[in-house]
Formats: sequence, structure tokens, C-alpha cells
Amino acid sequence: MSLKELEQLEVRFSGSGGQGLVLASIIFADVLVAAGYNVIQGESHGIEARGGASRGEIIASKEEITDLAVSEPDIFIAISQKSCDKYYQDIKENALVIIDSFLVTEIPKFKSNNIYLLPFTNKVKEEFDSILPTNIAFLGAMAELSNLVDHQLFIEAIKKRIPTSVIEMNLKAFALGVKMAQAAAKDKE
Amino acid sequence: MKDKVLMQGNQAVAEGALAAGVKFCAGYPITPSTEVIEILAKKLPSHGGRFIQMEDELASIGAIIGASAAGKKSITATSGPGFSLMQENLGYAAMVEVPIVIYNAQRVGPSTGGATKPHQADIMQTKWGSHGDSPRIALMPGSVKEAYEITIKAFNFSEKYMVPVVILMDELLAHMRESVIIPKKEELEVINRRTDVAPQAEYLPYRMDETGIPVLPPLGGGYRYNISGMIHGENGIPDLSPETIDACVRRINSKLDKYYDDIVIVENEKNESAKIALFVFGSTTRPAKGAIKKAKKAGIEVELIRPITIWPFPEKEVREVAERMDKIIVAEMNLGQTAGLVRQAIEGKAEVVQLNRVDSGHISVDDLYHKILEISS
Repeated sequence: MSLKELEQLEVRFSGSGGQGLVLASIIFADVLVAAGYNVIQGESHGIEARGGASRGEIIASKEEITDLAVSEPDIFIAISQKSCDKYYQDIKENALVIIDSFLVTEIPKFKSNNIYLLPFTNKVKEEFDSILPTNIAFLGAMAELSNLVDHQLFIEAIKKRIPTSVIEMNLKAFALGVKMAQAAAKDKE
Repeated sequence: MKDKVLMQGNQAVAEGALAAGVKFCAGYPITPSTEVIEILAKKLPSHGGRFIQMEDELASIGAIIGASAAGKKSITATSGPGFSLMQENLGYAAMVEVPIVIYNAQRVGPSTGGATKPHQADIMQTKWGSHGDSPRIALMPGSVKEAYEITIKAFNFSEKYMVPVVILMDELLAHMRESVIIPKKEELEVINRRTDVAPQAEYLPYRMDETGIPVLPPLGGGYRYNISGMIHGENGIPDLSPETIDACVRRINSKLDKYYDDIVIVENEKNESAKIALFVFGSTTRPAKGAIKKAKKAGIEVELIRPITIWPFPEKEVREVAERMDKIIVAEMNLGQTAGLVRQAIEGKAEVVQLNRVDSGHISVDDLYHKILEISS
């Protein structure tokens, strides 16, 4: 079933504090609001400002939302080994899984076969000499693989949330993510 | 159609305060409320106001009482540990009848507890944390959209009834983002305190007219009068005669009584077929609606009763529901603070079943649904 047909879409971004996964989840929530969904977004983290496993979650629906937290993600994203290990178990059977294969080297046994292992952090570092826009590269891959919302809405949402001084780099990172996902999808065929 | 925007609970409180005409905020940062003062620090100057970061919470509430006495709508934002430090001056504000709004994003307690996790355990503290008998209004929004509207309401009540108003949220709602449509300015009701006073020669700050609410003109505006936390008579000057003590304590504690119907806001959709009611508030509002829907599918009718105003406690409304029910489930993220209030209000007319969660997880649709199944079998 395509993600568009779901009555309620549940998304989980997980990573370490400081990797920008909560910001990525906020931008994706913005995208879904612009696409006409009712949305709630929440975050959960330890007391550390940096490090530790944290997550940003989204529930979206065209109907009224009565849940407060994601219980079975339709999309699962992991940018660190610790958070991947902690949060992968309850995903849906056909969930879209996108993993940073540079940082997550031990891949757990996922319930889903719809898995994409892409070395985002490494590629972003090579391309921009900085790992900062890794979260936005993830969003690019997600935009491409989820096939849920027009890419233009992502670009507009990124422009709204990212400081002007680094917008250009982030838009390039978004395009890089799209390209990585396209190549990976092609390999799968 | 107006556009939907993604807004955080804390942001909704800050934006609601600006829409209500707040002109002063003093605060000390504390998770999970800090976004409120961050936003107000940034935005107040362009709204003709000021923000000051104080040295602690005692100073924060002191500063907003002072600013309000000078006629400026004022707010502070905090969480449990800071709210504890504010208790003395909360009673002072109630005693001198200077309107203030306090936002408390409840986190896990007691003591330092846990900064990034929710509880709903400051309900009794809100009413009774300060010494002596004194009035309060406390409001508990159930969504981000409601947080915006209720913040405006909090300022309105505070200005209209010259009383401290506490907005009680929990960490979950404070940090949650939601798609909301913000009402247009012309759709909002904004109330400002009265300033129509007698000429200075005849003016007594605590002499009541038929409203029972004092009129205190802004200090610095030409009127000279005394504001004191000591027991005072109509002239505001300390007076410890038994008659004055009796009159003062009774008057401030009964002044809201005749406005009960205006102040008490409850969400309650009557369901004539229901024998079970669900009493929830704050962030549990959403799951409660999910659980009621789920129960309906399983053939069990359940009625929702949700206080938005928690102080004064909506006794009348809860009692009316209890008269039609066999059981009321009281679900709260504490060990039973409102369950006791419900029992007291309904005087045995229905059985109270408690659902208390204090592990910092939220009360979910399934938690509530299973409780409904358990008591209906």
C-alpha cells in the first residue's frame, strides 16, 4: 500500500542529540501541514544536550488525531547506532526504513524489507566539508522514497526553518539526498 | 480560509499572551517552559513591552506584580521547581488583588524531578501552595490551539476579576507541535481592567461597588493609594481588628462566587446512553476522545467530562454528570489529586475509578480503553 493511502501516517526520526533530527522532524511536519494534513509533532530526549538517543515523531492524518505518540512507525529513520537499536522494534511490517549506513554499522533484524542503507554522513562530509546538513540530506532521501508530497513543499519548508546564511548548502544537501535515494531505488529494481 | 501553521504549545502561550495585550514578562528559564520567555524576550519590544530575565523565580513574580500594579498586563512562565518558589507572592497577588498570569508547564516531580518529562501533579499546589485562604483561577488547555485561546482567556479573567490566573499545562503539551488555525484579531475578545474610579478625594482602593471587584488605577498615573499584603480595610491601610480580618478574608475568597458560570469552562458532550464517564484534562484530552470512539465501536457508550477550568473546581458540572452515571473514570498523571475533588463534588452519586500514571509516559488511548473495558464487564 502506498503511504498516501494510509488513514494515519506515523513517522519516527531517531538519532543522537545534536544531529538535527528534531529539526528534520519539524520541517517534515511543516511539509505535511502545507500538504493539508492535520499534524502533531513531538520530541523525546534524555537530559543531555548532546549525545544520548533522542527522537522526533510525527502523526499526520486527514482526520482528527487522537493519539499523542507514534506506536507503529510507517517511516523510520535512524542516524545513530544507539537510537536505531533503541527505537527500531515497533515499526510496521512494510515500513519505509532509511538508515545512515556510515554511522549505523550493525543493522538490526527489521520487520520490514523496505530498507535503504545510505552513507549520508560520509557523503555530506565529502561534498560540503561539514556534517551539519546531514539531517537535510535525509529529508531529501525521504522526500524521494516516501513519494508522499511534492519536493517543492520540502524546499519551501527548509527555507523557512534554516538560517539564511546556510540555506544554499542545505538545499544542495537536500538535492544530494534525493540523488542518493534515486540511485538506491534504481539498484533495488 | 486561513492558513494552518505548525505551532508549539509554548509558542501558543507566548503568542496568545501577545494577542491579549501583554506588555511585561519577567522570568527565569526552566525546562519545559523556556520557549515562552525566549519568544516574549524577542517579541515584546516590538509590541510596546519589555522582558527582564530576573535572578530567580521569586524575583520574577515580584516584578510582574509590580508591573501589573502600574497597569501593564504581565506574565511569567515557569515549571514545578520555579512555581514552588513563586508561592509566597502568588498569595500576595491574590491578597492585594493585582492581576497577573502565571504559566506553569508541569514536569515530573517532586523536587527537581525530571525536566523533560510530563506530570500533572501541581493541581493542588496551584490552589493551596500559598499560606492562608486566597482565591485563584486555574485553566488547563487540552491542545495547542486551546493553549492560545486559553492564554487570552487567562488575561481576560485576571483583568476582569483582579485575581491571579494560572495556566497549567504539562510538558507534553508544552513541547508538542500541532497544526493550528490562529483566529484573526477581530475575532478575539480582549478585556482590560476597569479604570473608572471616583475622584482622588473620595477614592478608596478596596471599597466595593456592586461588582465586588476592586478598581485599582495604574500606579504612577496620579492616584495615590496603599497596596499591602497585610490585612487591610477599604482604604488599603493595615488593620488587624477582628471585624476587618473577617471581612477581608471572606470578601476576597467569595468574590468569584457570583461569576462561577463565566469562569468555569467544561467540555461535556451529553450522552444519554452512557453509564460510564471519563474525567480527563490537559494532554489526555486527545487520547480520551480516541478511547471513547474505540469503546463506541465495541458497543460501550462513554461520556466525556473535561474541565478546562480546574480552579474554581467545576463541582456543579461534575455532579450533574455523576447523577446520570454509574461510574466515573478519573485519569490523571499524578496519584489522584482531582479524584479526591471529584469524590467530594459528587457525594457518592457514582463510583470513582482512578487511573493514575506517574512513570512520565502519557495516558494513551489503550490505557483508557482497557480501563473502560475492565469496569464495564
